[in-house]
Amino acid sequence: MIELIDLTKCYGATTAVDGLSVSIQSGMVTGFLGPNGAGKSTTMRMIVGLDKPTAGRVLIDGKALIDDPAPMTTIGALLDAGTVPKACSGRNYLLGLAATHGFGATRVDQLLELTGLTAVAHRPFKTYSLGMGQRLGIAAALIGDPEIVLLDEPVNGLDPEGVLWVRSLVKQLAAEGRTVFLSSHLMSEMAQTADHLIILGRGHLLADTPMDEFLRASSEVASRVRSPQAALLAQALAAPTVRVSFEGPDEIIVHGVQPGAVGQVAAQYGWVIDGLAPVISSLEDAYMQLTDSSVEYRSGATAPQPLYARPSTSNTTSDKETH
Amino acid sequence: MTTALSIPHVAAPADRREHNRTFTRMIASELIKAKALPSTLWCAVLTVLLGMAITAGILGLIQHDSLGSHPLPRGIAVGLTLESAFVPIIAGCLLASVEYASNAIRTTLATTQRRVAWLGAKAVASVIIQVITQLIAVIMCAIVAVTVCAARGVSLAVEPHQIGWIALCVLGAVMLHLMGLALGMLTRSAAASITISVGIMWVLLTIVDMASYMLPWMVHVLPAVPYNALSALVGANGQSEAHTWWTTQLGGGTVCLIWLVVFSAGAAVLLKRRDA
Ligand SMILES: Nc1ncnc2c1ncn2[C@@H]1O[C@H](COP(=O)(O)OP(=O)(O)OP(=O)(O)O)[C@@H](O)[C@H]1O
Ligand SMILES: [Mg+2]
Repeated sequence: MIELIDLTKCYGATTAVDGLSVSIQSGMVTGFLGPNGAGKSTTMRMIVGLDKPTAGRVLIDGKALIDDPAPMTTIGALLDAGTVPKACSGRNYLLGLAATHGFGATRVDQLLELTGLTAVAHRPFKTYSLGMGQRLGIAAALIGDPEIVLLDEPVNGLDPEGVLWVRSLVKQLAAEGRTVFLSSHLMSEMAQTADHLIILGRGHLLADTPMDEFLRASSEVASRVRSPQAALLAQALAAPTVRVSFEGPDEIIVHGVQPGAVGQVAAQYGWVIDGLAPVISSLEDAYMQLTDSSVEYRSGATAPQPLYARPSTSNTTSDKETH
Repeated sequence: MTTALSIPHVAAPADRREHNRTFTRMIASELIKAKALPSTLWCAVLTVLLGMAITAGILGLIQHDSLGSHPLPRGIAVGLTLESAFVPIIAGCLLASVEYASNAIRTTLATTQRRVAWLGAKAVASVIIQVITQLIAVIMCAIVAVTVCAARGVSLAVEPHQIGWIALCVLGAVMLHLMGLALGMLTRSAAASITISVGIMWVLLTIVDMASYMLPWMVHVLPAVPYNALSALVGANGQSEAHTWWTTQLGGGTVCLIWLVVFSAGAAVLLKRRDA
């Protein structure tokens, strides 16, 4: 278990993390979300002791990591992929790391096998693709068979097979009772992987909640109905608090009414219902709703102005004509 | 890429204690890392080749009757240390700065946690590599020296008690190497640490030397310049210089050590305090 107690980190005038207090439980995958610059990577660096907190502290299973006699077996982290000297081969890199805790070539070869890197293990790191580098970073994190696995954007650059592999891997790690803490910007991926969510916005904690609860809480009451009498049903349900949107000729979404209530009205009139389900918002919707006010680096809403005007086909007045 | 899903386990939790991080293991790790870097090999090869070239050059060009006035081991060792001093110092700079250039330092420190102990382990590993390199260089230089002298019809005096000189010269090279390592850790950049090394070793020498012509008291500063201290340590001081304790071998060694301790302490303190 990782406990963050009032954790704060300032870089000069920038407060990257501000009074963060959460605990990350073992036996589940905890997803770490937040817009760019929210402080996720900074928090992860503080957990492994790379950045010194300005205030507050981090406890790993109740102790400070620095007092751990075998840090590698306690925590394994992928912070940024590609932290390997260019000329060093992947295998030598892992061998060097493994040696600090007395692990040898057998262990390293097991991990190369696990991450699918055996064929390229002897090649210098500079020849690795983005995904290979990411896999090597994951291998490095797992050398010590650690209790806690910290992964900062692990699927960044992985192919679909790799993404699937990471998803299954982290789920299995969690099932084995380990603490898995991972950040990602891929909402669909996170929705399928994480059991619990911690969401940061500008260094502040926005949410610390189980995934399903988060989705439920951010879903408004709404029902999706499929029925040959959809139009009649919409009329029957009409009320000031109810909004109906048509998805098709016989499919409607009724905002503000529980599925049960829709069923009762249909039964009253003896109408046929082909499908009836609550509308649950996606993680992406829920996340966007929550973080909307904490997005620091927002993309422009309109297309950039072209540097040079293109020849226009419409007959608007040009500069020449005004003279 | 095909991947497996079953994570191979290390051992039962009770056996994990066999996998503690220890100082010796960190040294072993640093040796593996250094061996995996081509720059280590290139610096070693350069040390040996440069030594051989210098030996061949000096013994091949020197006047016939001067040959033999410098007994073999000492002459070679002194030449090797002073003329190729830039190699061990740059090798040290590279060994440290490569950690930062690749950001590998983050993985290293996250894995080892004890930063100063890790730096100590890195220093020990560097010393091991440096000593081996220097000994190979001395042996190769001796072979060159004997060959060149034989070709010129002179037999060189090899005095066994002068083997001690070789040890001093190796010590000098090791101190230079560690100084480079400390500067690399301090600046976290190959370019900056190499520039500062050259500045401290050679530019400082020139500046203090010139200044001592204008400001007579600067003469007393001369022994504190690293290059002069190194010369004193290996016993290569010119006859004209003022002889004080600082220009003796022990004095020179002490000055070298002071510089080394200052840089190393700075490197250790900053490594401990700074964000990695
Ligand atoms: N070494 C540093 N020096 C100065 N500022 C930093 C440093 N590291 C991070 N920051 C700042 O701290 C804030 C948080 O950065 P961080 O990298 O933790 O964000 P993040 O949540 O990981 O973002 P992303 O999703 O883009 O990876 C940012 O404003 C960043 O500019
Ligand atoms: Mg980040």
